[in-house]
Amino acid sequence: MKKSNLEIKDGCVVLSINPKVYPLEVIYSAAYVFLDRAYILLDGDPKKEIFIELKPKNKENLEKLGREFNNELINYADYRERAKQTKKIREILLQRALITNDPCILKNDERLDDTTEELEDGKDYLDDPEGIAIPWEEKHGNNAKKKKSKK
Amino acid sequence: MIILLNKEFYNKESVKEALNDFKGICRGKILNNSIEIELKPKEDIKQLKEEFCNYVLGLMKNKTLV
Repeated sequence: MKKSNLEIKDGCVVLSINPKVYPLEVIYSAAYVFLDRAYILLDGDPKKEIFIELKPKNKENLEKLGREFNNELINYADYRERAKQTKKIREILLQRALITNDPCILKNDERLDDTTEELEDGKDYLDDPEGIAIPWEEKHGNNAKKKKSKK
Repeated sequence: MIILLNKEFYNKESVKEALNDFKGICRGKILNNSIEIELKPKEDIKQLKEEFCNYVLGLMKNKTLV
């Protein structure tokens, strides 16, 4: 019985995976999720075709198990792709967080200088063009009214 | 019992570590470079072979997480 990339035989389901579609690290991640549900054996050629044998620990529908594994592969492939896309911004955020806690880092790392320049766009963080740092009382409270009335 | 693991997918170091962790329930050794493992269970244990393979995979994944 053969359905798509699944082959069911002797109480096992064997998946045939193209490593160009799903890299090995994605396969390891998906396999790790299934460790408590099935016995897993990896075989084949990591450059041409990878075979994943799943033998359920408890009675389970083999086709369903295989298809769920395929879903997990897609899940991790997507995760990997997004992680790649957001790598730069995550690095910037982490560096920014570290700088906030310890400005001395700046003195030791030139790369961080570049990053902070990029982030601050040459503006001083003490600049307050919108007047956000002015306390409410000062801006709208009794003192402000008095000052206005004096004028 | 003999287990044959594909060396392209399984790490020899992790297999050695797994053998060490399974010391209490079986004796084992790596027979050759293509990761052929011989396990001699001390008592009858169901699915020892399969559990061993899963354990190796788990160890390998844990190493990449650290």
